[in-house]
Amino acid sequence: PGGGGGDGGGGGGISILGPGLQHRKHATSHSPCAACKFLRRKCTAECVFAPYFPPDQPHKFANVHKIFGASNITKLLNELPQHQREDAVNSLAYEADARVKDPVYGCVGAISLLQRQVAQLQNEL
Amino acid sequence: MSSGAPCGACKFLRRKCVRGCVFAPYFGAEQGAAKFAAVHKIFGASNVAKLLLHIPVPRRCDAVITISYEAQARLSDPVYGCVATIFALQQQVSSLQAELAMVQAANRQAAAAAAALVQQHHHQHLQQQLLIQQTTGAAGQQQQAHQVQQQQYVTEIAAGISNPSSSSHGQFRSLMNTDQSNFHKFQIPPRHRDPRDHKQLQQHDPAATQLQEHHHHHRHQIISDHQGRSAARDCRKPREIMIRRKKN
Repeated sequence: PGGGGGDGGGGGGISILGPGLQHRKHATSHSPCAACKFLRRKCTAECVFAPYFPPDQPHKFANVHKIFGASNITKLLNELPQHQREDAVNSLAYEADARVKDPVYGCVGAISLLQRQVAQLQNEL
Repeated sequence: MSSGAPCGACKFLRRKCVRGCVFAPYFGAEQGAAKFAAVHKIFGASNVAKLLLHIPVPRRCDAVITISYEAQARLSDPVYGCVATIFALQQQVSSLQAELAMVQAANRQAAAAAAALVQQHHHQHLQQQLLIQQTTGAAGQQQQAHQVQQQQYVTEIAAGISNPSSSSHGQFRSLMNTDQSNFHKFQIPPRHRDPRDHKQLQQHDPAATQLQEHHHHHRHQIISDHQGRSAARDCRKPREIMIRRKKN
């Protein structure tokens, strides 16, 4: 049976990699983020993705990785201050999700649709 | 597609532009390199290549255009990229929808008020029409009634002249008595028994005065001839004398 919990302490923690499988990690007290899980790598404390890609949202990083790539995301986040990274990640995730759903137009399709709505409302007014 | 000059993407990547390069149709040799640089920095060459390979060829041009747009927007705004435009448009749509709702509500109220006003005027107009019809109908009925009565008066007068003792004479008298208010409209007003009328006649109608005097004298002559008396002295009551005579 799956499930588990983290034990307190200096740095101990349990990360759930799959049902019925538990790992005891000594580096961090948190489970690997979605990025590290997707990349199948060790999620360290200094993981740049961990604050923005929680493990309960695996599709978020999957799309971002498919469209932008992990290295590009890392570069983008490293160029931004801490207080702006969360918004940046969320906007990147939005763009990636739009591009996965519409490979030709991506979020530009939403812009075009909104521009038509604005024009229609202005005409009605 | 030329195999000599590399496309803008391959030039940027500093690689040999092979035949069938996926980027070549969309990133020219002149300005393709700068355009591809933004795309490469945000998306990466391999990711864009994968995207284009999964898109039908006729639609790849639009895809490159939108990808280039997003890349440029992200370079301009590293935090929000083109999502900032979407947020702004969403807010604009919301405000316009709210404004439109207010305008539509105001228009509905104005339309309702105008409709109520029109309906009120319509009712007033109908009432006025009904009043006019009633008034016109009543006046017409009254006029018709007067005409009928006038015809009856003429008929009774004619009947009264031919046969004064007929029953119609009495009816005529009753009509006269009962409808004195309208009598003046169709008949010469009855003369009042005013002594001054006689004097007025005498003053204004010398011929009538002379005729009256002649009749008075003739009556006097008849009385004096029958009685052999100076009945002329009692000429003020010739009728009574005649009645006395008959009794005798």
